[in-house]
Amino acid sequence: MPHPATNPSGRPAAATFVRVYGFLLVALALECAVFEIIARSQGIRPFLSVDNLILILNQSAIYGVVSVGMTFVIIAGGIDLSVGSLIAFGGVVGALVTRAMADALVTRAVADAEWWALAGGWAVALAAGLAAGCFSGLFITRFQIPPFIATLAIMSSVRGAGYLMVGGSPVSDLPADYIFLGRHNIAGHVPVSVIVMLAAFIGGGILLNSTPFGRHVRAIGGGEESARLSGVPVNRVKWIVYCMCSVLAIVGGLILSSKMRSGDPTVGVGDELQVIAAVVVGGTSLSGGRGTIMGTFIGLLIIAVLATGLTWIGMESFGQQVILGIVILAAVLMDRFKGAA
Amino acid sequence: MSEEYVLQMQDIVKRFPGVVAVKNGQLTLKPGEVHCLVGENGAGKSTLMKILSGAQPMDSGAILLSGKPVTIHSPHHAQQLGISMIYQEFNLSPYLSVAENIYLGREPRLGKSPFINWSKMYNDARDILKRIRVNLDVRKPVNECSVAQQQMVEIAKALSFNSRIIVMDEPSATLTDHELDALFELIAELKRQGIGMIYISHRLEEIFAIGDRVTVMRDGEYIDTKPVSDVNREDIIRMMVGRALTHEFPKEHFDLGEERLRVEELTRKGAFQDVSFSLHRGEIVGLTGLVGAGRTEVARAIFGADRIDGGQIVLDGKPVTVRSPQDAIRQGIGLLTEDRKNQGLILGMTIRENTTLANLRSLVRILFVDRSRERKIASEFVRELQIKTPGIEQTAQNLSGGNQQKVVLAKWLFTESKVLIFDEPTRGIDVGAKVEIYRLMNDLVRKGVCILMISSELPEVLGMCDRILVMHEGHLAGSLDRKDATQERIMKLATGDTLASIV
Repeated sequence: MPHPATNPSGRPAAATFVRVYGFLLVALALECAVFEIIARSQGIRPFLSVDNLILILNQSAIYGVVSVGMTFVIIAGGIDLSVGSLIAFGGVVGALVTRAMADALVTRAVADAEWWALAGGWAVALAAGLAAGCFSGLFITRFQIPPFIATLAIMSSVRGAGYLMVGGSPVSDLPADYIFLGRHNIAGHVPVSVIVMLAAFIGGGILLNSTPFGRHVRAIGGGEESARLSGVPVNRVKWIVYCMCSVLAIVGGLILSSKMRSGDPTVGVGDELQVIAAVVVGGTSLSGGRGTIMGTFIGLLIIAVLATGLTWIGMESFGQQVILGIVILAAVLMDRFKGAA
Repeated sequence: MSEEYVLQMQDIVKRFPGVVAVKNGQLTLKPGEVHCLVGENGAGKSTLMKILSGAQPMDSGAILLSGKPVTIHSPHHAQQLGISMIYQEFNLSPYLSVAENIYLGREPRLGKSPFINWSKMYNDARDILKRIRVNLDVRKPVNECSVAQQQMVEIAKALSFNSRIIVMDEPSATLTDHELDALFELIAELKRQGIGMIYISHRLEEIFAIGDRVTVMRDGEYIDTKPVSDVNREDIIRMMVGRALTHEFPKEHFDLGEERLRVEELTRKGAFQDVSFSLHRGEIVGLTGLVGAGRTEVARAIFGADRIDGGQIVLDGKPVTVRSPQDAIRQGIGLLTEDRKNQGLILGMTIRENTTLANLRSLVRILFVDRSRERKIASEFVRELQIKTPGIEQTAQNLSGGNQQKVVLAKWLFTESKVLIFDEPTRGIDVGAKVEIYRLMNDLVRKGVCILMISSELPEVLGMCDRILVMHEGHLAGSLDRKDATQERIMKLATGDTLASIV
């Protein structure tokens, strides 16, 4: 008699998908259903609609992009507290460089001056993020400083650096095209920010699931010494993971600053915890080794639907925070029971 | 008559899944006696002592304290009964003072208040240290004390419980000669005070220096107890190793080929010095010695897991630089570590992922891991090595020890290494799986791989190796050919005799 578990190719893909993500998807569906029922019973506009879906995706784009990097960091057994500061820093650097370049290029009447300025702003901001990630990586790998401490230090320094660059007041007077990342829609409906986020999730998913690099990240989180003694380049992989997370945080910062059309050093405070929450709700283990990009995506949606839905039915933000806390605890508890079973 | 003994352990049995760790443990202890407990690694000494200290329950047998049967529920209970353990690794809190450590968890209070009576605590601590003639500031943080002083603190702590029985597990391992003399003086003082001591050591000379009686264990069984004055070193070694070869060793002989690996004067400070040897195509070379002699350290250094301070490694006639395990694997050297769970496997990963981890590069097709080939390879290894599992997607933590070891083996087979170092490859594995692993080693040697096998199990070394290297305290004490090797000779080399003196 054939036994499904002895199938050499493993379980069928669909069955695996349901086993791994079933619980999260059910939670997400339940959540949507509850808001839909409340919305209908109270005679508000229906909660479930294409426009509302795009709104939710658009609002979660920034956390979404960053949570891809954070998923890698946490699966590798680390944590990155600097992403909130990097979100602000990315916006400030991007805005400053874009404005300076736009001024210089427009006066010289260069063709497509604003676009060149925008590209320059992005490039410099991303390079700055890479540098920050390199610093985290250096301290964590070379000097064996716990990731919590190393990234806490980077968080503080980067936050301060953002303030120093602009003297406390936001960078404004940005070119009109600066809103491209945050407010522009492709084909009239689909926001650029959502496309960037989906690209990050798809790229991250492929990187984690299908490349040796992804395998190495999970091996390090699952047992660093075993991984090292199996020839995994532990330090290099960790280094890349922190660089990736920092760069994605900068991307998030550029989207935010584009939405606001300013570079504000005060934004993003506490965002690292929101991002970590999405990753953890998505089933990634904080002790490393276990987690998925798809899980993070669903976790992100669970939190985003919650925030949007509670606003939709008229709950004010303090109540929302209480409920978010309960949802995070419930998700982690469920995960604990699943692990024990 | 039983009142003459402060402790009697009778017919102790302890089983672990798949192994009987102690089959027939016997031990008696008189007040004021130093009773030495000896045996090879895995003979059951530690398990017997863990039972005495309440760290593990026994399956059957009896423990009598001053003639009265007791059941020891926990280490805390053992302390209350007057039994204290002093392990090689101390249980001290580094930033607390000597006195705080001695009274940790039962600090004297000011009357019935929750506050500590510091002056009483310091005075009491001073009294105990005076009793064992140790001169040490009771306010000094323990991490500022030397290793020997920390050991004294442990002993003082044991005395503060009014212990009548103190077990010392390898107390001399980390001491200098001078500190050892001080320890022996202290032991003499404790004897005068009527405290019974069980002393575990691999250094046989210490038995003759301080022991009153000696008990030998082998393979979990009680062999004999003798007054130290009635035995000599040879007698003890014979009792420790004198077993008939009960296991099957499917040794096959192959023609000796050219040299594959040579290490020259390899040195790592504090671990081993000037270790030189070579491995040839077609042979299995054993590396043995007592725990702490530096065997594993040599293996880790060759594999690039630890830095070397001197010497060089020559592979197939060419000097190679091995700075990391990555380098070693690229050059064709593999290491099966002793600690499978923390150093060999990623327990949360599947058999498939563990099998290919060390050679994932070979499965890459345009940036991506070729999953279908990976599955095929993992399935082949599962079949070939007869790994008992429902499938290749089973996580490693759900496998038995023997099957876990086979997965580790599969990982190294997949790297197609030229040299494989096996560190205690059969530890904690049942007899059937052991023989399978020996056969796999034969297959590897047939294919031209040469094997360095580190093992503390002498029958295994004698049964499977063509040549045996013996280490003693970081040096290569000697090399014995298969035909010249006996358990006695190996033990003599391992305990400090020279090659010239034994052949």
